[in-house]
Amino acid sequence: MSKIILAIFVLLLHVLLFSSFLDIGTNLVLLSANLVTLFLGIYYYKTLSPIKFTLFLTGYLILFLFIFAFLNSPLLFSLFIILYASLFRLPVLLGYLIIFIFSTLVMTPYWVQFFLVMALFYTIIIGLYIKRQSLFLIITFSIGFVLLFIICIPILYIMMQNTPQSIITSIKDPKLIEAIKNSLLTSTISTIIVLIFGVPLAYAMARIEFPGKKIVESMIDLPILVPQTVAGIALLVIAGPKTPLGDFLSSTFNISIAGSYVGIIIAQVFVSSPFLIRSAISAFELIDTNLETVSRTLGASNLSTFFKISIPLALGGIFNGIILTWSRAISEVGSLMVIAYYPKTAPVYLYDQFIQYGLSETKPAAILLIITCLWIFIVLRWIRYYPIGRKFVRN
Amino acid sequence: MLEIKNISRVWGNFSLKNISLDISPGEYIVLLGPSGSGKTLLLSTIAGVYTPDNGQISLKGKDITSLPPQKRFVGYVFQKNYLFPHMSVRQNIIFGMKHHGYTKKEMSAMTGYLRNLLNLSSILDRHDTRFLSGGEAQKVALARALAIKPDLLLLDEPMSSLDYDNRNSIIETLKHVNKELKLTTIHVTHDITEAKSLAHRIITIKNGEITVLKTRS
Repeated sequence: MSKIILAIFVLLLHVLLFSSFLDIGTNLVLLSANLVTLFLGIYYYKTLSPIKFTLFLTGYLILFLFIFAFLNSPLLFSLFIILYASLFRLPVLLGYLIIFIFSTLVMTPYWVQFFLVMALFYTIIIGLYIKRQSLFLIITFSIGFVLLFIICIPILYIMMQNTPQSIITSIKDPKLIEAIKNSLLTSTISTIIVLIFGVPLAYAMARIEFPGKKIVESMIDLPILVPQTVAGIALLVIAGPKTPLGDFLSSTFNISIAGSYVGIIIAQVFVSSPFLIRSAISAFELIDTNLETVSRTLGASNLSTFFKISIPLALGGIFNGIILTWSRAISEVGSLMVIAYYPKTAPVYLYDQFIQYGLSETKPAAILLIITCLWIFIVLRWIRYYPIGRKFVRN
Repeated sequence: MLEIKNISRVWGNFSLKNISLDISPGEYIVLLGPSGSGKTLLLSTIAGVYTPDNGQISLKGKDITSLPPQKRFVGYVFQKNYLFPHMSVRQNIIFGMKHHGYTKKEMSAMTGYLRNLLNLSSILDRHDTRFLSGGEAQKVALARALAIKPDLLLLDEPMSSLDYDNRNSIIETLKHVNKELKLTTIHVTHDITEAKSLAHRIITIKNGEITVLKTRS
């Protein structure tokens, strides 16, 4: 009985009050939304505790004040209160709804990206909560997520800026394709070079102690510290044209580091080597040296032990290093602008386009580059954790 | 068989001082001492992990003082089993034989022999050594060391990380192996009962010096 009285009250409210400033269509939608909410509300009043019911009413009031009164958009309000009222008993979904409402109404220009990242965050938090992870760890994770948020939003945003057509047009630009090929080729060669020299160095650094080890460690990290342009200038000063080393290289081997693939590779090796060496050192340090001793007492030479015991057990860490070094090499731009503007690698080409034609011309190419790199990155990560992970990475 | 003459070596503030030992073929020696007494360092020196500063080690009449571990034919079993985690049980056992140039036929014959000797039939075909129990893993480690037909077997507290049942089963296994193979063995421990149940001769070591040599009555 009381249901009908309340329904009639809501009806009268709409007819008498809202009709004065809402058109009839909007008013009708609002009325039906309110009626749905009313009936669900009565149901909640009967089944939920008073505190939860108060919470339900508060939520309704906030939505009303915010969307109806503040943003003055009765149709959105109708939509959201129906969703709100029906999802109220499902707190997980309600969370997504709140994120959705917040992204569409507050972060309107970036709502898709914002919603995606926040939904991901929310999903992880819910997972942690269900696993009864400690509150402190959830808070530390949340604080850290701010950083990931700053990283993800621009990348997601630019990827949704262009239609697939414009990306396809940029695929047809032969100069861009050439530049991407250059990038893939040089960064792969650089990574192989770093691998060949870096892994033995890392093994030695993990196994031996010597006076001055700290100095060698700082030398390994030096490229991270030196600004990229400075690295380029330094390489040109020692081996560029009209320097003793440069003259020797060009007269003896007919190679020049300025404006050549050799130059690009040297610059990339210079800036990217620390990542592989660092992760390989930590990987080797994690291996119990007694495993290597056992291998030697069984008759394996130092070399066999290195290849059959140490390398397989450190492979996960080394592969992480490969991924980081390759990524660093392919994204290098600062030193290349100084040492080898031509042949153009993709990041240099993009910068060139940006300077010449501006932002909107560069966007599709940038997206293409992101997609290429991201795809390779994902494949490498997959290899790291599945085929390699299963076979070698154990504790 | 194994002759150690006056070896000494300094590691920071610890040293092995003038150790001499003469061990006859097939003898089971237990090296008994508290932790920090230098028993493991002595064993590692015999295995070739460290070279002594002075003195001489000879095995089967051959001077091995400066040989690296891979050329000494010494089987070494540690406190932890140190099975190679990226290899199966069988691959662990044949690892040493591969490096000593055994043929496939010889390897499978030896594996079969060790399976019977150490009762490995239920675990020999396991792929993942992580799922072995402590005793099983230690048996595989022992099989791996025996597979290269070592002249000398070194056991560094092989039972200290095992529970009571596993410990007894390894003690029985070691007795059986010693009886079957007549293999000269040096077994390091700090457990006197373990020492008494296995040793032909007990040697005690303290602060890097050998203190008592006694033969089991």
